[in-house]
Amino acid sequence: MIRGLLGNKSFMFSFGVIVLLLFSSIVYSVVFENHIPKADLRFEEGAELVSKPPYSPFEYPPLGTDNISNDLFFIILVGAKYTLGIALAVAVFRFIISSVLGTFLQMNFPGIVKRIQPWLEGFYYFPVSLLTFLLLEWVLKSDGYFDGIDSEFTYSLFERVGIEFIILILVAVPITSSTIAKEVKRILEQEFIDSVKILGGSKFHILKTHVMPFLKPQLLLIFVREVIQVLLLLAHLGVLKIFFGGGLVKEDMFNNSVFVSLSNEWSGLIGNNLRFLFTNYYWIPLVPILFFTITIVLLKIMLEALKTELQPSTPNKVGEKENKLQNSPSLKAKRRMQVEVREEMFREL
Amino acid sequence: MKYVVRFLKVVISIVVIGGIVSLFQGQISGSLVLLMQNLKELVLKIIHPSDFTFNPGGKAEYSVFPAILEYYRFSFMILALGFFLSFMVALTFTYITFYLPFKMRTAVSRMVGIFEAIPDIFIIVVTQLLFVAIFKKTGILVFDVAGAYERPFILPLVTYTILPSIMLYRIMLLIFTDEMQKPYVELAKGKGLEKGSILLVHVFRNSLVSVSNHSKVIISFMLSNLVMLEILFNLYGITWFIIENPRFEIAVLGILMLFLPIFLIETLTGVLVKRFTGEEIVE
Repeated sequence: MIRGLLGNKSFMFSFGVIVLLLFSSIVYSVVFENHIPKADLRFEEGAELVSKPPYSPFEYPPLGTDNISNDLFFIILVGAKYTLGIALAVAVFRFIISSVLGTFLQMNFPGIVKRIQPWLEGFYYFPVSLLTFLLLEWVLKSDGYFDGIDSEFTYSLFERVGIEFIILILVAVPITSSTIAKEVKRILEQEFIDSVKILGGSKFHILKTHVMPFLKPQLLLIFVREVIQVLLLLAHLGVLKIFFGGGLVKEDMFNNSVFVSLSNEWSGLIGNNLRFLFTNYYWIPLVPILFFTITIVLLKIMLEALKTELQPSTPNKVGEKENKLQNSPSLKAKRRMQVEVREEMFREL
Repeated sequence: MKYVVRFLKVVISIVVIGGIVSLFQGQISGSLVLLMQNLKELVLKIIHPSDFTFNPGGKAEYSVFPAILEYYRFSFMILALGFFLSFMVALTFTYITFYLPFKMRTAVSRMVGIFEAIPDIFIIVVTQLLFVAIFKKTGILVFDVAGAYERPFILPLVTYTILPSIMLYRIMLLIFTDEMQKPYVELAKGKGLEKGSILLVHVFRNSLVSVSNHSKVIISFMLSNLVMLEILFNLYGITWFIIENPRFEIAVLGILMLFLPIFLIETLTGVLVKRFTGEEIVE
């Protein structure tokens, strides 16, 4: 499978771009300590002011500057490691908790899982971004505003980040665990599992030798999907002005106290700058939205590539040997031919 | 009876989620006593809906009825028309796709898979900017791009339709391709039926069950897009109302109000599909 992926151009390209983004962001923070260059006012020969910030991407390539003339390209670069890091970390935890929970419960208490599942349906009708917003609104937003008593957060930054992390992880656990449990159930319903049971295979043996080979590829897909979900959720929360860790209260140029996101994290950039959308400086919120979009689309390309890579080997994979045989190029080509021929037949229809 | 049980289960689960949310509002507490108390309050309010209140501007408490109904009507119209339009668009494109040569069809289906991933906020923001740009160039405001008490309708609806259409199109394409391989299609073809009529009458009818099986995912996707649509277009709809008044009881009320018609339509489709095809939609 890994060899197949290495040969898959679209997968390697997307993977490469994301790794490059993350890596260069980290290197930049180590080497240049997150320094963000400022654009100067531009004068022509004499003292005549030609243009002043914010510069558009055409005036100040590649991405222009924001309202306080910081270079947007470097802001995005500095923020990348936080956003991608948060998304990956949350997805990893969601994934670990859900797969352990889903697999364990389905293996040991299938009856209970069946009875719980209908009760989780509420999560389908409660949009995740709305639910997360309601859960975090007080901790990260209204608690920090002047609310009659004080304008300080009750919890420290560290605690707020912790709380947000836990909530971002837990909101997805019910649905993801349920998906994984369904997947395990589908595998356990296969006929050969009965033979394994009759021959005296223990639960651990079934899990390790017979369930895992089928489950692993599915889990990989679920993990990539989870990363996409977290990124989307972060972007949504940014629009709803929930910044990671609650943000800091700062004074803007009109002496109004506003929340700004910490360390140029992307979702915070969207929330901070959304008010510029209908002005002449529309690129300031558009740039972080664009970067979210690019990252998510690249992940989706990876997901599709993984799917095509995994597809041929999933139907009746019994052992490693068989698997290798099925993945052999000649067999793949033959199968594809069959499919195409079948398709051709229907085309004549 | 089966439907009633399902309805109650979903309603109760939404209420319980609301109860858990209540523990995070105003303080963070893990107290079960508080949870029980809030849940009791919530259930009492649902029984007497006129007890739901909100305080616009933080001054006085007003009853959410009838104010919320106007918000609700708008959101529901967008949701229902959006679903209907997406369905029609997806069906039309599926129909066209089946007349394409095979190689193009696979390419299209792969492309669509990538398009599906574009975040809703990107599509909304780009559409808005596009119409603003048209306005600036020509001076013609084709559609309103942002709302206040007068809610723009057409542009949000069109924007809203894009992503669910893509999603439904992809699902339909997969299901139709699968269905086209069944023997009865060959028989129909042998009898000399036209491709169009086989697709639209027979394959469509038989695929409807599988499409309905995916409806829950599509609806949940559409609900989450609705939040962003209403915020970015500043549409005074139900999710906008919930976000402006972020209280657990109002959220639960709003979600339940949205769920009720969805449930009715889902149940009706289930009954009709069973009647016409004899197959049952799995939960």
